[in-house]
Amino acid sequence: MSYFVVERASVWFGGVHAVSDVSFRVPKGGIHGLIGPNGAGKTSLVNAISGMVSLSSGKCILDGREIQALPPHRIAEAGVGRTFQHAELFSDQSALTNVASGLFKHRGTTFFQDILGTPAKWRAESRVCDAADAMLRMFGIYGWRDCLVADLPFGIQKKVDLARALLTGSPFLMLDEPTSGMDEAEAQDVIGIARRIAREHGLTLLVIEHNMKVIMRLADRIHVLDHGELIAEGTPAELQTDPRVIEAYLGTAAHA
Amino acid sequence: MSDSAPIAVPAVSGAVPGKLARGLRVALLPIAIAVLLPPFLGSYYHFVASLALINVIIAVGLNLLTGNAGQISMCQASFMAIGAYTTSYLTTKVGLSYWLAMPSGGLLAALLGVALGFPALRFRGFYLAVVTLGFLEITQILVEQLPSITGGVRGISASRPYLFGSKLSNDLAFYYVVFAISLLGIWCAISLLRSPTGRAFDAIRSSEAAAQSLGMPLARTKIAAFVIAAFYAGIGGGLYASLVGFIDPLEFGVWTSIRHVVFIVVGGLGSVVGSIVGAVALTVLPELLRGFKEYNEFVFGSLLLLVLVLMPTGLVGLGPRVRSWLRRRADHMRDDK
Repeated sequence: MSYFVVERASVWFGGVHAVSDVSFRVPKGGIHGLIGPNGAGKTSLVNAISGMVSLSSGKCILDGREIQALPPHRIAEAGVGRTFQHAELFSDQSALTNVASGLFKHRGTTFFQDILGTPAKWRAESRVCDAADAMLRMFGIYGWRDCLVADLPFGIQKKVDLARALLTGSPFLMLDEPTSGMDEAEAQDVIGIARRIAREHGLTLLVIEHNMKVIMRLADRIHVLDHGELIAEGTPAELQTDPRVIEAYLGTAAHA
Repeated sequence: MSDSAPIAVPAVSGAVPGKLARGLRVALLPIAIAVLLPPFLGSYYHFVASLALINVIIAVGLNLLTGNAGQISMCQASFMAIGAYTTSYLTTKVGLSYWLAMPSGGLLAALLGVALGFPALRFRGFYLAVVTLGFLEITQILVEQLPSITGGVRGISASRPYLFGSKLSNDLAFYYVVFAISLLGIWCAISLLRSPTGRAFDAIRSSEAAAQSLGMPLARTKIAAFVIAAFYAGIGGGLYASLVGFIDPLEFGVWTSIRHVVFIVVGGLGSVVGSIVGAVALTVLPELLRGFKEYNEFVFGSLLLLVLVLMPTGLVGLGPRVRSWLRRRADHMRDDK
């Protein structure tokens, strides 16, 4: 059975069809790619799945449960996590606070414990700090721990965003261009970490990319969007020779 | 709550308690001064200090709402009024103990904070400011229209509470009560900001989309911020009524609300220490400027402008700047040798 299903999803902005009638299925576990040239509707689809914009029609089903009508924070609670193309960080806060915010879903304290400052709250707070520190170390950005993220280079910001999303422990995680702003070695490194955590914790990753080289190495299976429509899907090897993909995707990339 | 386990949570390292302990050590000196100095001062100083601490309570609450959760409120004076009138009504008309009436005033203010939180879900920025000004107008009209509770435009007297059977008519004794309550309020704010709830406040100010993607509920978080700020202002109002001994409805107008905002902007948005510094400085300063007589407000306004122009992050931003200046000087001295 499919773990995550998008069924005939459409997103319209006024008269513009950003996503038209897209359906695909993602089995549990592994890394899945969602690719397409700029403006293909990838980010619109991710925004719709995570509830940031509402679907004009269609369904999103996670683990047998329809989630498209839920408010965004409920979708997150249901187990959908995401990162952002432009690393939507809490810019006036430290890297540590940003990553620690990722643990919100697993808060071990009530509102009244938070405000009264009970010993249990401070203990929980220590655990949150330690977990965030461990994540920062894993990404090799512990040195930036106390810096305001607005002052960090874009590549580091993307790592903070990814660390924060991974710490949510969301079983279905969408990564929007996770390696943009990084050089080849950094990108390799980050992909390695994401792959390892996904395997260890049985996460299902949907990686959005327009960089074909990155996604071909990373994904087990790839869905290709163009002009808001799903034009192909298959393994990286299959897609490399698919004429529709070469025409729609690589064609435009070559002209760009 | 999601059923998946969080990733990599090692054992407690004690990092947070360590930091907390350092913070408490720094706070020890001001606390010691606030406890030990007043007995050597006159009643006028006790009154001004109590006033300053009441403003601290209100400012700390408002800063959580505005500085952290990013929601503007121009009606904290309304919540003060609700706290003040509820306290006075429950003590004089119902005969309730002040120690129950005053928190009840805070709770009623918090309840109305929920009511104000809902429009905040739809409006932001200037629009929200205008909505809160509307709320301020409504409460002022209600105060005038309910003279049986509020005394109408003539106001109503309020009395000092009893503690352990003796009346706190002594300004010094009442000062210690206000001091203890303000310490509690400060502690709660510090604790809140280092908790999931506090991080949600900061998160929704910074990026609503990212906050929601982490499972933070937008509506509930905003309303919680309004409720907390209203509760702090309600408590402040209850204390204020007893301190002054009389509730004048004109006290709870737009000017008072603006002053609350000025406290936190001058002190430092999003900082508990900033709220304290701002409220104390701006309560004490007008008293110090009495010597300027008719130029009093002119000098006050000029100093305010200077602070805002020279210290855009508020008085609290001065700390790191002074520290780095001292460090640079020390380095120069070493180099010279």
